[in-house]
Amino acid sequence: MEILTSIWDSIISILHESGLLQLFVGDGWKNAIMIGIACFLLYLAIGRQFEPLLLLPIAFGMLLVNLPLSGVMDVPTTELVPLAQASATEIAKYGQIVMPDGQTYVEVAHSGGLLYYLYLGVKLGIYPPLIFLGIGAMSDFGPLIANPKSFILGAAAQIGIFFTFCGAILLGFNAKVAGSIAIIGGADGPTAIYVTSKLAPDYLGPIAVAAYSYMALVPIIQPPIMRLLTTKKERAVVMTQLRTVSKTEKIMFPIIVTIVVALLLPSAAPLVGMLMLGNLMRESGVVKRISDAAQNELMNIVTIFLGTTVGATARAEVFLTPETLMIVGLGLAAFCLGTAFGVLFGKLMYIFTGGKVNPLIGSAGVSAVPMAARVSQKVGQETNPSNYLLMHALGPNVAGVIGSAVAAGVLLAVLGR
Amino acid sequence: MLTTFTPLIGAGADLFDDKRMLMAVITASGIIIVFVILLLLIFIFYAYGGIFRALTVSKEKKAAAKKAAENAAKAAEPPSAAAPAPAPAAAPATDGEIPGEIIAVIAAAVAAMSGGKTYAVKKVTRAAQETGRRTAWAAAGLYENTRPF
Repeated sequence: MEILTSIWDSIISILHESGLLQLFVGDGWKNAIMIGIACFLLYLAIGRQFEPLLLLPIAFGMLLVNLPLSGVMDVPTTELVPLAQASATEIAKYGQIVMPDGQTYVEVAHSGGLLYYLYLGVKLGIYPPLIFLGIGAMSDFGPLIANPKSFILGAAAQIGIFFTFCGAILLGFNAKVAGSIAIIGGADGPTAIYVTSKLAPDYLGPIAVAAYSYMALVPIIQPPIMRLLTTKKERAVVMTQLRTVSKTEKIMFPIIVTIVVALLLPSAAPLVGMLMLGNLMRESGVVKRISDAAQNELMNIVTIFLGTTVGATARAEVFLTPETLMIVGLGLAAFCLGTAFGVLFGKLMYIFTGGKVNPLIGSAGVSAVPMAARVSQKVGQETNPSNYLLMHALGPNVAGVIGSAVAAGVLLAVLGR
Repeated sequence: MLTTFTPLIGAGADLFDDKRMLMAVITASGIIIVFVILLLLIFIFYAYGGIFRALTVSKEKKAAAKKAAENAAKAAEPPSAAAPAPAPAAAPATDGEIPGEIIAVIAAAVAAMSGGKTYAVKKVTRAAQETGRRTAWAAAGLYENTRPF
């Protein structure tokens, strides 16, 4: 009987210390909701294949951090243990310190959680530029070099960022948070994470989730705006074939862009510099091995770390707030405004070129490479099935990556002080 | 470090004038800087593209001049005894604009798809081209080039 009682007591004790019980204590219900949200995002990533490469690790990071007592994001701490209570191993490992009160203590260090250490790559602004390195190594800037006018569409699609900034300020967010929310309009996940990690790290979870959700929803969000702002005649425009770009031009491009952007806006140098380094590795053709590594192994490894740790910032007490809903709403507004301004500038180009530019390529200026360019192609083909806008849309698309990195540099330069 | 969470809603709500100034400064400066930098890049890459195109044209001209000189030298040589030309085969009727090579390709495609039976291509005419539309070949070429995306 005594044995049974002691087994029962052990079970009760284990249950008391389990995460399961914590779900029913205090604010534990919030964690339960977050677990539900994480499972829903996992469904979207796996079942619906919404940006699965990022949404899956983000959702799993979110799941891990909201499991009570998992400790995956615990901050490393130290504890002063009186010498009499410290074990011989602790004394040998950490040494003794004498405090001003004359007592001798052992300063015992407790390690942080796994994801806390991996998160340092986000906090220190390391992962997003590494992702940019991989993007650069995968990008072909040929269409942009062949048609430099595309830069204007990449700039126009960033206007939404700055109008959303105003919206966020009017809703009561402070300037740094407003800047981080507004950058969602750049439709560039790594840029949004980079800016937010510098300006408002507490908001990283909701902003990253909103940014990647909208990027996954590009084919749903953009077409109605594109159709609304263009006429059938404009959408049917067949653009002339782009000129062939020589290898030397492609090699010079990343070097020139880096020099110009970094000299004019040094705060954009980490993102633009790494993007262009990746591209130079690709186009030079002399470092094929490291170009391949940047495109594949490095990109994949950083994606795992970035996704999981960003997801792990979405703790219940941060995520389940009215502000998250506002961030989601403002992010959508930023994205729609970016698309609209891109298309409107595309219309201006249509007018000024006497109908040679199809305004649909303007929406690709929001970045989201190559999804936004594919959307331009798809909407164009609805009107004219033999029209191939893809290569023309890739110009504004990659210009949008540079544009959003420049916009991020502006926000960091002005708000990051 | 994510150890604290400070609600920021409502912070500084009484500073409306400062907010207006902040919004105006960030929006105007942001849009202007982004446009100035990207316009500068447009200017640079137009100039850059122009230089490269000029260089390419000059190279092509040199190559063409060299080839013309070679051809002229060959033409100046005395003609050798040429083999008798084969008798021309009966060609299908065309509208006169379609080169013989294209007709040969069409005939080969028909032969490849004929499944062992013998067909004769009697007439080849160009289909009416809708304005604003690409030819099937141009569309196929574009599709091939853009498929990775």
